[in-house]
Amino acid sequence: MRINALWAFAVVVAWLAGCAARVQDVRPFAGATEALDAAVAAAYEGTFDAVARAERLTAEVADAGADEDDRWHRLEGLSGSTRRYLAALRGARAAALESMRDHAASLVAAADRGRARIERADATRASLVGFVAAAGALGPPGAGVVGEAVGAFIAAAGEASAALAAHGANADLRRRVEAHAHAVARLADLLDRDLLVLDGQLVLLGDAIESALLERDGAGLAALEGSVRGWRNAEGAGLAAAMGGPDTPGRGERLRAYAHADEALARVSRRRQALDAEVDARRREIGLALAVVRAGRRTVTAWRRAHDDVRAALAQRTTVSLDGLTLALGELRRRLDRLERLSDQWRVPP
Amino acid sequence: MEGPAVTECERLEELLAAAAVAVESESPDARAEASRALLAFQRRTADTVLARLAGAAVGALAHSIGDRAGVLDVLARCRARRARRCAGP
Repeated sequence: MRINALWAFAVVVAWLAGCAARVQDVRPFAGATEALDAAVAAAYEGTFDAVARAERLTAEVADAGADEDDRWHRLEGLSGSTRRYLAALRGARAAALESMRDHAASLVAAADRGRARIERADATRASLVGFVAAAGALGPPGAGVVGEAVGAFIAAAGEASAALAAHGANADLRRRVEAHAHAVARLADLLDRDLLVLDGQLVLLGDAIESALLERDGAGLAALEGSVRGWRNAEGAGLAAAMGGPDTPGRGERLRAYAHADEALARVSRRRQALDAEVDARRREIGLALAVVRAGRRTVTAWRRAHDDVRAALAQRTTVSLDGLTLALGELRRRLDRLERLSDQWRVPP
Repeated sequence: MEGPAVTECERLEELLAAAAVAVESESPDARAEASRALLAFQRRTADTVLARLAGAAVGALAHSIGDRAGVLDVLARCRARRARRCAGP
């Protein structure tokens, strides 16, 4: 019975010593959670900027040409509703993201505690092995061989102790990860849906901004151009004759009118070019905000997968592959950097 | 002031009606499509009043997420104004 107990102990020690004394690395998931937080914040920031831009432009249009309707006043009310809706959505998700940051931090703390236990077990084993080796060298003949055997056993037991610490830490991590699996999946779904809403919202705001620019800077351009061209066409034969003909009465006035028509067309062309440039700049701005939102959606997917991967790795005692997460985070980082570089240029002043 | 072409009047009515349906449907794709069509109309039309009405509808659609009833109200007033404009002097 005693031999059986010793054998069982030896088997357990050997099995544990054979297990990797490694605590699952959860820091990349914690980093992904921080990145997710930044991605969601940037997505909302870009959308709020677009709302402000649209609101400011519509106000400019209203100042320039308020007419028969109170529609612009009404649109300002609509902007307020949009801002309040988005702010409420952002607030609700911020609280959920805060809880996820707490979850990630608790995983990191649990993993750190496990690693500290392993380090302590390693230190104890090293000192015991050293002590036995020294005692064997100083003892009677044969003591060295025994000491070696005892030292080997202590080393194995020490490794087993470290493996046990890792096993305990991983079991703790697994409990925490399992407990949050449903919340992570649910939050990922909600965030993805929110970002899809922001995506659609940005597309519509882009149209609204372009529409307000058309009205502010482009209203009447087509009519003016058509009228001038119509006049020139109607007068074409007479003008050509006046240009090449003798100095008849009224010739000078006709030529001046012709020159004025040219100037008017040139002004229309310049205004149209400026308008096109402004529209292009706003499209790029919206395009960049959309790229951030879409990178954010991929970050949500990668974040959720990272949690699933940690969960699977803990269940199967394997290591996590974070290639997908790294790619998604790299893309997000690039988008955010670009947005940051250009944001000063594009930011709507308060 | 000369009135707009009948085809433009009819087209804007179609677009405003489609925009109202899109807002009711809550489909982001339908809203985006309605917005794009109205913006294209605004760019193309020679009538400045119809252009402004199309622009107002585009502006309103961008806020359909926050105040659906308010947006439908703007669209209804755009349709009424379009009817007056297209009824002639």
